[in-house]
Order: sequence, then C-alpha cells, then structure tokens
Amino acid sequence: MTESEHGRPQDPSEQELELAMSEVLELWSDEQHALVDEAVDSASEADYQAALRTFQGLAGKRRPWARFGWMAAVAATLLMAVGYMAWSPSGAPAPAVLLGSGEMEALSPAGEVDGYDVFSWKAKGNKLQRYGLRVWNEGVLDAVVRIDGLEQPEYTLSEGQRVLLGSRITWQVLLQTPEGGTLGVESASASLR
Amino acid sequence: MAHRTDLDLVRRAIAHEPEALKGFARRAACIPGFLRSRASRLGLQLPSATLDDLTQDTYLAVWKKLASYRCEARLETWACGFAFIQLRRWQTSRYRDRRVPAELGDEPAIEAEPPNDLVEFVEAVLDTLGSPVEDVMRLKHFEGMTFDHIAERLQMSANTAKSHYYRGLARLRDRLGDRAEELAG
Repeated sequence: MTESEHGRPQDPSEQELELAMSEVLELWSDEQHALVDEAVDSASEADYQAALRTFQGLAGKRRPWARFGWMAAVAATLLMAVGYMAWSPSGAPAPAVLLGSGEMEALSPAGEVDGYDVFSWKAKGNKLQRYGLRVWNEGVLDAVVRIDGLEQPEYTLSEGQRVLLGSRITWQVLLQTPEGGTLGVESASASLR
Repeated sequence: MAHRTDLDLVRRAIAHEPEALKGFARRAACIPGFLRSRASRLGLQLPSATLDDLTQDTYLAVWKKLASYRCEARLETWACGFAFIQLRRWQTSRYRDRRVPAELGDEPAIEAEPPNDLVEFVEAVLDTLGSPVEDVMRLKHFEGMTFDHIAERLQMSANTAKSHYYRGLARLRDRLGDRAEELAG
C-alpha cells in the first residue's frame, strides 16, 4: 500500500512509515479476517432469522413521501427544462426542442407490457443528439437506471438492471447535447401484465 | 474486482428483492458472532441485551450504507467493519458514562493484561488511537478501502482521512518501538 491514491503526492517519509508498519498490520489484518471466518462458520439459524427480520423490516420502511418520489423527479426535470428555455441568454430564441413537443415519440415500453428488456423511442430532427435514460420503480425516489450519452434511440437493459425493476415503472428519455446539457424530456409509464 | 456477485446481491437487496434480502441476511448473520469474538479479544463482557443492541445498530448502519459497498472486501468483511465501529462507540460511551477519563477508558486490554504477542499488541495500540484515527486505520487494513471510500464512509475529505492514517501509523510505530522485535521473536 505504497501508492498515493488521492490529492497530495505521497511524502517519502510517509512511504517509509507505511512500509515499516505494513508487516505488523498485515498480521493484525489476517487475524481479524480469521475472526470473520470464524463468525461466518458459527452463525446460527437464529442469527440468520433475526438478521432477515431486521432487513425485511428496514426494506419495508418507506419514507411517506417516497411513493411520490418519481413524480417529484419528473416535475424537477420539467422545471429544469422550462427554466432552461426561459433563461435563453441574450434574448436568443429558445432551443428548438421543447418539452413534450413531440421531438421524441413512440416511447416503448408504455402501458401494459410483457417485459422491460428494451427501451426505445423515435427522435425527430438533429441526428447528432444524445439521449439520457432514467427509470424509476413506482414509489421509489432513486432511479434504478440512469444512463447518459446514448447515441442510439434505444437501450437494452442488462440482466443486472432488469432484475432491479418492479412491476410498475416510470421512465424518461432526455434529449441531450453532446456536452450533456438537457434540451427536452419525454416520459412514459408502464406495468407488467 | 473479486466480489462482483456480492455487488449484484447488494444491488438486488437495495431493490428489496425478497430472495436477495434472504441472501443478504444469510451473509450478514455473522455479525453477532464477530461482535462476540471481538469483545472477547478485548476482554469485554457483553451482556446479551447489549449484544442484541449492538447487532441491531450494526445492521442498521450496514443497511444505511448499503449503496456505498464497492466490492473492496467480501460482503461479510465489509459488514463486520461496521461492527468494529459500533463496538468502539459502545466502549466509548460506557467509559464516558462511568466518568472514566477517555485516555484510561480506551486502554482496558492493556491495563488488564499486557499483550503477549505482536497481533494483540497492535490491537491494543489501535484501540488507544481513538476515533477517527482508529476507524481510518481499521478500514484501510481490515477492509482494504481506498482513502476516497474511507472518506465517504466517515464523512470527511480524502486528504483528512489520509492525514489520520499516517498519524495513526506514526503512533503505532512509536508505541511498538523495540517491542516489535521482542514480541515477534
């Protein structure tokens, strides 16, 4: 562990100190890991059941406002987009792509669907645009999928992303500049049959 | 990273997937045993109600920080890192409640019985470093965390974490002194 990971470069005396202490700390660390191994081996069914009850309880506790979280996220994005248009520096005309103006259409999945494998949309206008994708489970504030800079008007979920999605989702596609700025947004909701 | 499947389990647990919660609970069930072993090594008698409280506090801390798991250590080791900190907090509050000066209260193992091997001695010295130096040292060497991730866990800047770390190393070297060779021999 002699690398300088962050910020200021590593001082030679610090490097020397780290080297001098590395052996004893490694011995200490090995013993602590052995304690963990012991604890893993000795964990009882009762320990497991108690842990499970706790985590199920914690998972069940949702913040009262969380079920409105996705709506808040959509509203925030709308406000940002409206704000961006209103701001229009030097009285220049607002960007051509307006919120919900139909610059993106045929969003899929929408309504009742069999699965959420592929998210796709059709875009009009400038083909040099980029897209961002956000997907929320119903009632959960944090987006499960959050991707920027897509160059194609579609995205196929990975297996890991797919398992995170619940039965009802809300999603957005953002029209982005190549630099990552947001020009517009379209939203859709879907649920599994 | 060697613990990709752990990361997948964590992500699914965050999404409250029932099977993932079961899998995660199975992995975290080592925490009470680890707390017992640690307390025993420190010469502490943990009443069963205290052990239950510490276990629950550790589960809660683990759950709150689940999204910060970075695969640097396997899941059990990462979770036990929280147990370290909860146990030390309990020790600190116990000694504070008894109005024992912190510098004495932090050294029960040394006072009770001088360590007779190198690892015990290192453990006893780490135990006297106090928060946050001790926490940084433990996270660095027990969980193999980077300074950035230690900073995120302990809510400080990475440079502050780094300063604490080298301060801790210097104090460890000073305390070890000649005893390192003596104990190793």
